[in-house]
Amino acid sequence: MLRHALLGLLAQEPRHGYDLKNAFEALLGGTWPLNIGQVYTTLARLERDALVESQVVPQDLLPDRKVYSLTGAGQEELEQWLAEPTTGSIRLKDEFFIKLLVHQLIDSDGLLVLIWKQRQAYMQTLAQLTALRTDPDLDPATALLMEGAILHVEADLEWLDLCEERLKQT
Amino acid sequence: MELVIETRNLCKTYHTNGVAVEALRGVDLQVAPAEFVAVMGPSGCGKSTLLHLLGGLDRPTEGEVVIAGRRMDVLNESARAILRRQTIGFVFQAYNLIPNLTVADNVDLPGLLVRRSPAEVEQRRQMLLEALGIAEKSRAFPGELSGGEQQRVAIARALDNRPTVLLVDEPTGNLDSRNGAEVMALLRRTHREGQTIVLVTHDPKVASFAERVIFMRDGRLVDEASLAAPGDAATLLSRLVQLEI
Repeated sequence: MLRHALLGLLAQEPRHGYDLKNAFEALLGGTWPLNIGQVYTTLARLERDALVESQVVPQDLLPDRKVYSLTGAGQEELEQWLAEPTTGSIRLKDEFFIKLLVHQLIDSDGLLVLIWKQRQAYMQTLAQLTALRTDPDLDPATALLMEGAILHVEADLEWLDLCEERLKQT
Repeated sequence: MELVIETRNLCKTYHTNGVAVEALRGVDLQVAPAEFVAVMGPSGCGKSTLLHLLGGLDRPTEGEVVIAGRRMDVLNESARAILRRQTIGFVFQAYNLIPNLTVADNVDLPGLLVRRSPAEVEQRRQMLLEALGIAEKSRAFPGELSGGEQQRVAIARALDNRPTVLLVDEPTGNLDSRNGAEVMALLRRTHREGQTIVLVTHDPKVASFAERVIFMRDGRLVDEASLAAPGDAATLLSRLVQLEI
């Protein structure tokens, strides 16, 4: 994911490492902080795979910097990635659910308490998301991301209700 | 510190066609001044019954309701109505505005009922409509307004007498998600200015605007969560990034 996002930023214009880090973080509205090491590791791999190339640009007072740009193969890789739908996670391996099942095996009394604690945690997350979402200064991309996160937490809460209902019946 | 609301072992049983339905089975609720509490549960859990008892719209089968230090449940109908006008503001899902009165007249009604001076009532109304962003609608009739605007008028009316507590029942139930969020943001702002609010809802997103959410099942309060006081956007964002949701 990061790899292709960096390719996209380089398709926009050639950039050096720190520039890429800043452009990526700005694009994601601050929701995905990167460390510079990650950026350089990813760039090294992209260069190894001939998707990007670099040029050393000397500077007067500062150390020389490497400026990266997209190769023809990189452009092709990017276009292919952009054209394809993603396969979203359907979460068949959900840690909470496994906890629930194991709980049922060994201590079904504690089960309801676990569900309540989980509901508390989801509500706390939801409160933070809705608070952020209603902030008038939020940038539009982050707002859209928050809407998505809110819908996911709402689904999690609904599913929790379903778990509680079914477990009561058994 | 004196509580704004306190209930002790609150029970309510309805009898319909010879069948007894226990809507509330011993509710002990405490609400402190300036708190924003949401009671959340599925339909039929008793949350609306609870709100009606808190507002004195109905009487409990058993137990006590104390509003601002005064027993509500022992009063007769007319005494309850007086206490209600003085201490409670209601916001309902269906707005419950009077259709043949203008926005201004709807908002003025509670103030005139407790005999505040017309000049003071008008001043209060202008301030409220301004704060809720509907000042330019004061001469309109409810039927001419959107759902979101009608709910703002209902909030203005509920706040008219500076109620000790604002009781809110599914405020966004008839609104689309954008208007719903705006109404909730207004309620949160009202709370930040010191208003005590008790809200009942089935909707987690609505409940998430409160400071404390109480979960209700089968006529009982079963659990609660305190929702962290939201900080500024940057703090929230970095906290969420750490959660990796």
